[in-house]
Amino acid sequence: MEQENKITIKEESYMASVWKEFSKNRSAVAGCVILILIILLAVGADVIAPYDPYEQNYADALQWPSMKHLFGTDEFGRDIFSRVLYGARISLMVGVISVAISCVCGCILGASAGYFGNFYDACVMRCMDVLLAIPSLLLNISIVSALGSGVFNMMLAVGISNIPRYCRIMRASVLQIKSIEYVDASRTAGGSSRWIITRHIIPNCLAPIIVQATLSVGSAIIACAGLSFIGVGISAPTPEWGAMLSNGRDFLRGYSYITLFPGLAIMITVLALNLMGDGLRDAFDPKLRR
Amino acid sequence: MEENKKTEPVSGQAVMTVKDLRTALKTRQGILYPVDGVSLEIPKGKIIGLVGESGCGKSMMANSIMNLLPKNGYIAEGSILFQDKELTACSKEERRKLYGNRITLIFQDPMTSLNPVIRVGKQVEEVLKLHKDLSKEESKKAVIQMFADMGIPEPERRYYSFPHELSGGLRQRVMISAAMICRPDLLIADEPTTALDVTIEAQILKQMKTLQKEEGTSVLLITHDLGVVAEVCDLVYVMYAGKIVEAAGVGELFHHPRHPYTEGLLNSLPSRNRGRRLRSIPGVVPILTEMPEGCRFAPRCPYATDACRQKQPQMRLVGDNHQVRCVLDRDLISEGGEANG
Amino acid sequence: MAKEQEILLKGQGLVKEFKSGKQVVHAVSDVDIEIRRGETLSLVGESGCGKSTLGRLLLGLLPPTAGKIWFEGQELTAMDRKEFQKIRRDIQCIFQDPYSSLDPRLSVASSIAEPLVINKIGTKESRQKRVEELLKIVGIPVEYKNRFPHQFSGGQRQRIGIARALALNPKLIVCDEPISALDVSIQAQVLNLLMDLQQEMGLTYLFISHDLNVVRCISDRIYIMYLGSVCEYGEAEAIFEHPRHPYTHFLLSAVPVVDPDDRIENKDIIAGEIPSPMNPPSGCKFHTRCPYATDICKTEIPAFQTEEGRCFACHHPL
Repeated sequence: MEQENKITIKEESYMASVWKEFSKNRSAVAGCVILILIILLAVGADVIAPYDPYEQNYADALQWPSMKHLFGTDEFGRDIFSRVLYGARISLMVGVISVAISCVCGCILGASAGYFGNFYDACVMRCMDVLLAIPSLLLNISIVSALGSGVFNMMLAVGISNIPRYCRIMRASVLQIKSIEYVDASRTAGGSSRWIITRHIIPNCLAPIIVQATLSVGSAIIACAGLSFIGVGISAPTPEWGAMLSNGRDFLRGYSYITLFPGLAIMITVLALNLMGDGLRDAFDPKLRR
Repeated sequence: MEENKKTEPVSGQAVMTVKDLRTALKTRQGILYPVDGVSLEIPKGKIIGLVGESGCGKSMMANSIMNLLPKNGYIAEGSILFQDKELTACSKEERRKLYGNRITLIFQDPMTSLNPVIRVGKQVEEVLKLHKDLSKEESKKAVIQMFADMGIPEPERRYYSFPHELSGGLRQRVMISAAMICRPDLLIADEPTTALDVTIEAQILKQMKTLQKEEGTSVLLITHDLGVVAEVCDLVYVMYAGKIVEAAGVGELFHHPRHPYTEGLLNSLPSRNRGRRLRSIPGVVPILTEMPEGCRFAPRCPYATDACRQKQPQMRLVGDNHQVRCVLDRDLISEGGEANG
Repeated sequence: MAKEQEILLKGQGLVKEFKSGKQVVHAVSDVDIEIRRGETLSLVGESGCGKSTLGRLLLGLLPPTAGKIWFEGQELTAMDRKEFQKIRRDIQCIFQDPYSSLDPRLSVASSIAEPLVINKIGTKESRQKRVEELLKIVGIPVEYKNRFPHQFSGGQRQRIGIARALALNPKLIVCDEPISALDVSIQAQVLNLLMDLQQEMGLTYLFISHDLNVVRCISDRIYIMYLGSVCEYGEAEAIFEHPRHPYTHFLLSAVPVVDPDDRIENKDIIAGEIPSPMNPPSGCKFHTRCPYATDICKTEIPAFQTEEGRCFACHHPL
């Protein structure tokens, strides 16, 4: 026995090893840093923004970017830099909350469908198929128009249309994990279904869900931007990146900067989230580890 | 069949001679040597067993010979002489002509080594197409003949089967057919029957052995199963932690093991311990990053002395064709074996 | 039978069928089994013979399609969940794959303590004490209790799995191929541990394995299974010495023997492959491969005959 125990292994928990792996991934860390920066800018918008995002100043309307107005001004003379900063708050919130809605609903539905199987599973998965069959933009528009436009309804719409993704991922990993021997071991020890789902299955399924969630915050922001762009999302004066894009399209020829900066903001945020999500995926997948 | 059996005359006795082979792996922990100075000789027409536990480097050995090392792996030192060719210095084109034709390989898992969307007959025929100049008719006939030789029932029908329609045993027979169809000089079989049931294993081993005898092929059989070795091999190399620790004829090795590791392995077999406590080897195989300085088996060896722990022993001849990497000078089984239980 | 021991677990007429699409897989068909207190009973057979499924039926991990199971005289198959949960503590399991039988996210201590937590046994402190005790029993240093499974070798993980199975002081342990994933030298260590534990704690083992060398070394009695049915059972030594069922004979002769004088060329090897369990042969299931088969074997299922400490189901016994 003495020799067998000689294998010296660093004491580290699973999460610690995931973090170690993640921190080694340069692009993922870069994504993480950019994201933190964006969040700091959004939080500190009150201090950083040089102008009130709602303040209209016709004298300064449609100014190209300069030292006075870093990103220029729009047709009402509002400072675009300030609007982009304040817009980050709403866009990030919209992205995170709509992802949270779809994530929680999808996980619960997927986990129960995978674990109990049979008829219940078939019902849930067919409902998901119906949701998937409708183009997501169309689905979003119909939900928002049914519920009435507004920030919360928009988040709900984007959230609902994304439920099938999480549901399917969760169901697939539950199906895989529930046949692993440690689940049987827990059952022979007398573990109830609830115990097994909460203690073994969900924690072991979370990795792909976390990854999917970070990746889709970006697409949720874009979906919300799309809705605002069409005009069913966030209404006019509120600074939101998608709505700003939408406003700017009339001036695309002469004053392209109006759309350029909110567009850049969306792009950078989505890029940062994707980099981070990729890094998380690699860190969570033990097969990719050396 | 006899005409295309040997394309070139073999010089000397050995088909392949591996000398002081060191295979390196570049990892985060530095450069590791899973195969660390292995020399072995594969005589013509014999079955050579390479036995060891997982992690001893035996599969790495096969991969080194077959040029199938992972991206971070390379041959650091040593030579692999196949007939008169130095494999480590071969050009790509030369290698392409050798592998799959003169030297072939069978893997452990017959499920993943066949392409699931191509009929098995076509997959075997592909090998012929690459290396032999045969007409379509001829090659198809050759494949079906090969299937029949390998004991595949209804070979004409099986020619058109997809891999998933075959059982594990049949798939492995197809793999062996593909490996044997060019009548190679050397067949490397990496745990060929480990994934199979015992009755199927016995069938396939018997068939392989019959075919090998007819063709005069040399076989390097890599396995962890001493029973398989005892049944089919002529010569045995025992590998431990990247090094060969003992080499002998099969009878000699099983009746008079000289290395404490070989002795321990044999003693820990349940079939040799009927009705009493098993005599196990304490401890585990050392991991690559933490190789003991002296004899690599010393930490687990019941006879180890301080000298063993400091200096690596060399291979030495202890009998007729019997080599051992141990300084101990006695016949372990006859003297110390029983008392050790 | 030589010694009449108390029967710990008994299964009668056990059937398990799985539906796969329109076809039915007959995994276990009409098996009777008795496990006596204190013995090591082995279930032997090739892959697909239903030995693991039978083990899971007896463990209560799968409900049988038909048949009854009694444990210490109480009928498990007629119990409600609560009663069953209590009995379940007495039947524990050791699994094949040491890499998947431990939850990678739980420390060794929490894995071993899990059965205690589920059954609400003891306080936090007493459970920790029990975990340390169990680790000592299986030979893992107590300092390692807060480590995670990936930091252990295969043999050590299997020891941890054994500690978890022992946590509830079970009477019967089902060992499902517990050593087939381990190296030869480690196999011997784990087998020794299992045998020591049996002696010290008076455990009963149901040992499921395909490795006949191991089975011969540790079993008191064995059941040989083929395609979901038992074809021969009884005292291990009697069966190994002189098998009466042709399948047993061929299975035994196929096992690689570590004796260089016993070469494969001279062996008596059976032809053919195991038929699909979706469509098992009629009559005696072995008749498609059996060299002694006659017409009666194709139509009539042979009844069990008793002789010299073993029973076998064959029309033309050896």
